[in-house]
Amino acid sequence: MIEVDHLRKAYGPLVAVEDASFNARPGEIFGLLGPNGAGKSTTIGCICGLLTPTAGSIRVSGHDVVASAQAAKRTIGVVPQEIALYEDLTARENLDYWGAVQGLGGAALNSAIKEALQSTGLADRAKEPVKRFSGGMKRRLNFAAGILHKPKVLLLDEPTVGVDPQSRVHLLDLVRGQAKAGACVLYTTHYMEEAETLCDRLAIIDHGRIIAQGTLEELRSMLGERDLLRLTGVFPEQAVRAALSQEPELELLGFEDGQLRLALARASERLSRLFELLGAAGAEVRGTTLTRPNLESLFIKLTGKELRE
Amino acid sequence: MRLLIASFRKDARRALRDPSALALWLGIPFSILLVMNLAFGGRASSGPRPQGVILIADQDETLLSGAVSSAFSQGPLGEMFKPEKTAEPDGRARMARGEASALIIVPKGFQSAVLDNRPAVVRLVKNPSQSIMPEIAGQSLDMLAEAVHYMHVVAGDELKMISSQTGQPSDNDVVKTSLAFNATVKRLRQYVDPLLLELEIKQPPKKEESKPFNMFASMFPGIVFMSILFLGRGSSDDIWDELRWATLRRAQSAGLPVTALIGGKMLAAMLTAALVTGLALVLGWLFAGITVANWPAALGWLMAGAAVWYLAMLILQILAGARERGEIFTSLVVFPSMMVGGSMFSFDMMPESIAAIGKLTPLGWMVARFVSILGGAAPAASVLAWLGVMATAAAVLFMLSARLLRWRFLKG
Repeated sequence: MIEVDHLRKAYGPLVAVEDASFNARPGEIFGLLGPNGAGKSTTIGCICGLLTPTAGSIRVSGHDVVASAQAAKRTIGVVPQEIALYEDLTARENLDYWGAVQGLGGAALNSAIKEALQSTGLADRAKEPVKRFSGGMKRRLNFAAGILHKPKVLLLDEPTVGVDPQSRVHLLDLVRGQAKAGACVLYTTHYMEEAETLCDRLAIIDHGRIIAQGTLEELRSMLGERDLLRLTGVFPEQAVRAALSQEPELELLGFEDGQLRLALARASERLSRLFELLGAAGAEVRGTTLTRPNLESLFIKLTGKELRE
Repeated sequence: MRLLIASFRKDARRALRDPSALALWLGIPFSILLVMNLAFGGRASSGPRPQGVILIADQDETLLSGAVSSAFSQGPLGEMFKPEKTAEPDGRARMARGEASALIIVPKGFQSAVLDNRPAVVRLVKNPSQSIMPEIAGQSLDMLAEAVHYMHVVAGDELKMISSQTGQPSDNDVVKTSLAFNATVKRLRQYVDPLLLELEIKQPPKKEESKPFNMFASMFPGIVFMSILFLGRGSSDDIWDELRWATLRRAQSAGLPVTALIGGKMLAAMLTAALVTGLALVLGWLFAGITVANWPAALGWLMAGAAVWYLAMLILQILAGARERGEIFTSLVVFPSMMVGGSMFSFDMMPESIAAIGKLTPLGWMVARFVSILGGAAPAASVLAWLGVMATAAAVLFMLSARLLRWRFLKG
């Protein structure tokens, strides 16, 4: 269980995380979705005890991460964004070290290593130095090093960055397996599709603030099941605004730089009607992008920008 | 302790995984030793000293001109020079071919000029491709000229008497000359017998019969510590890999204390030092006669040295803040230390004043004591006391490095 309450982390005048609160429960995959630099890694750093919160509190498995840091750390497994492995050691030697650091030893460690190598599909490469591994294999081993001690809380910081599709699928299955086994998984990503397919609940974070959170359905409902339509071209503002104001169930989200952003229900059925209206208002439409209601469109609605910007 | 062992095991594995680094840490210092040995012949004073050929063109062929030649064949000069008589043209030709250090031309009339106290020109031709031997020949001729001058001061009349004689001297002349010399000696006796100066004669302590100089043996202790310096520097550099790979932060988030991390690395450096210098001691046994009985103490001393130097270098790396600057910082300590601390040149080879300064540096202090340990001259109590000093230094450096590492790279 992770309980984050009004977390604030600042580096002097720079605020990395501001007033972030969320809970993640055992057996659940909780996603932190946001663009690069949104504050996801800082949040994870505070939870795992690498960073000291400026304000607020964090409890992991019932332990305060500042007051009872060691007790909290014993229940945590971390898979960092970087491939934090020793390139000159073999896969097995890496796991041997990380397992020992996480409190395992003897037969328990050997058994955990064997299991982790099997589950990540690296058993036949166990004796090879990591420097010979592909990016995907390194990512899998990076994951294995974080789950050796079967942590109650698993913190995954963008674990699929730069991996091939096959390894990504494999990694996501491994994450689901951990949650199924009862672990509380906190998963940060800037891949919307990953968050949608993997996470039970999500928090969307931008500029250090959580701007929305809930289940996927709850977040989708914030859009009101409306599609997002983006039009590019030439739009005389006053005439277009007047024309669109007559249209029911249509919200004008943005009007800037030859671009018009609209939220509307059943957009595909209403496209011809929209083009008529815009044509009558003297607009010239050159491009159309229709986005179904998803996290991307929610993010655009909430922040006015794309997730990957 | 469990975490310390895990950290040590990991770093030991990593160190042993790279035998090329181990070979370099030992190979570079011993390559330097080999080069020095080849350049200086290994046994600087036990082998034959360099001897220069000195050509003497004696155009006077008298008793005194012969004395010039004799001066270069007797005493210390005789060890340095091999005088060869020659005619001037032949001598000049040989000089042109670089076959001799110097050519001395004693002109005709030399003896009579000396006895009459008239100027006499003895010419010296030096070999320009040599610097030392021709200079010694020139200095020696200057000394001969001074001797002639003082001879004239004390016995000028008698010399004139000899020079005025022509042909075989008569018994009467011999008697007259002898009496004149006798009078001179009596005149001088009032000053020298008894001496007006009271001389305090100090007997210098009898030196032990010095063993022949063995360059390998002389340089061996410093060279072994050069390996330790390189090892400390190379091992401390690993902190940048830990940062680059993010393993340092991962270890922190997994609950590994900084002290266990540094402790493991220090122990791995000590193990590596034991392996590298153990091999060096075998070489020392083969070529420098290091007694096997002194190996355990020597190995203990080297491992303690490895711990101290690893931690000192780690502190420099942390203070530097980046790998490139770390290389510069550590170089600024390693190379000057090697120059004066007995690694690049043994203390035997240095001027006494420099050696005295060098022995005050941390490296020099370690090397000087290592010499005693290797020679079996250090009592066990002294070795233990020295090890205590090393352990204290290591403990201070250890705590400092842990604090610095937290402050520099792990503050959250």
